[in-house]
Amino acid sequence: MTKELPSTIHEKIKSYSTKGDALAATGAYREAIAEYNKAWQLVPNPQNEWNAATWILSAIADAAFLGGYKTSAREALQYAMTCPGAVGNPFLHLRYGEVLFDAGELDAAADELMRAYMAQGREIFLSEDPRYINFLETRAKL
Amino acid sequence: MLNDTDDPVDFSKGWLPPAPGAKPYPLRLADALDAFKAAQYDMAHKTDAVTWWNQSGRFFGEKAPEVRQFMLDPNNYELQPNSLNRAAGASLRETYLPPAPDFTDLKW
Repeated sequence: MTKELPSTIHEKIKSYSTKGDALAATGAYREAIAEYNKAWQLVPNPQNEWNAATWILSAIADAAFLGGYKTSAREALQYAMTCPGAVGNPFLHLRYGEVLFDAGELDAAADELMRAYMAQGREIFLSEDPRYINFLETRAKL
Repeated sequence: MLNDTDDPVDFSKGWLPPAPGAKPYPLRLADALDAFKAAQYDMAHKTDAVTWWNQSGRFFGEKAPEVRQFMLDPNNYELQPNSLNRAAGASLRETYLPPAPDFTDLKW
């Protein structure tokens, strides 16, 4: 069962997230994550019971991945997968698969990339480095 | 003696001889049953998405309801064992609370 945050906390989280989004759009990923992290720290414990946790961690994972902080991206994604609505989310599976692929964990990477493909098809890979879809094609009949 | 509801036990699968110094044979039947059922339970929660796609999913096509149903079934998803233990993975977030990450210090 998922829960909704009190509106005061929700508004603060939205404010930090908006700042983070603006910074990420300029490529300032470290600074963006700092803002997202402020939002993350406002989510009550246990954080993986809240819907907000899923989208904050998605933003952190994306910025961390794009900024090259692959370990932080992985930590965000692993925890995100325990949060509401994460399993089945194509974007999260895509990023997780990419992180695992880059770490050389190919079987797990294929599973995650496959899930992204199943949900969104080839188009989810169009803006990604082609090595990920090329790898998936070695494992799956696409 | 096994009840009708007990799974048949095949000791030829996943049953290793004891290590030197470990409890000698014969183990209690209850121990054997527990170990076997635990192994089966673990295997029951491993559904490889690539295998399922190659064998079944691709005939429905990406984005198909059947494919979506597969994806959304938590029993078809195993959390990575280096973040969560496998028993917790079976129930995802219901009973196990993994340590929440912190992003104050970013890691390459």
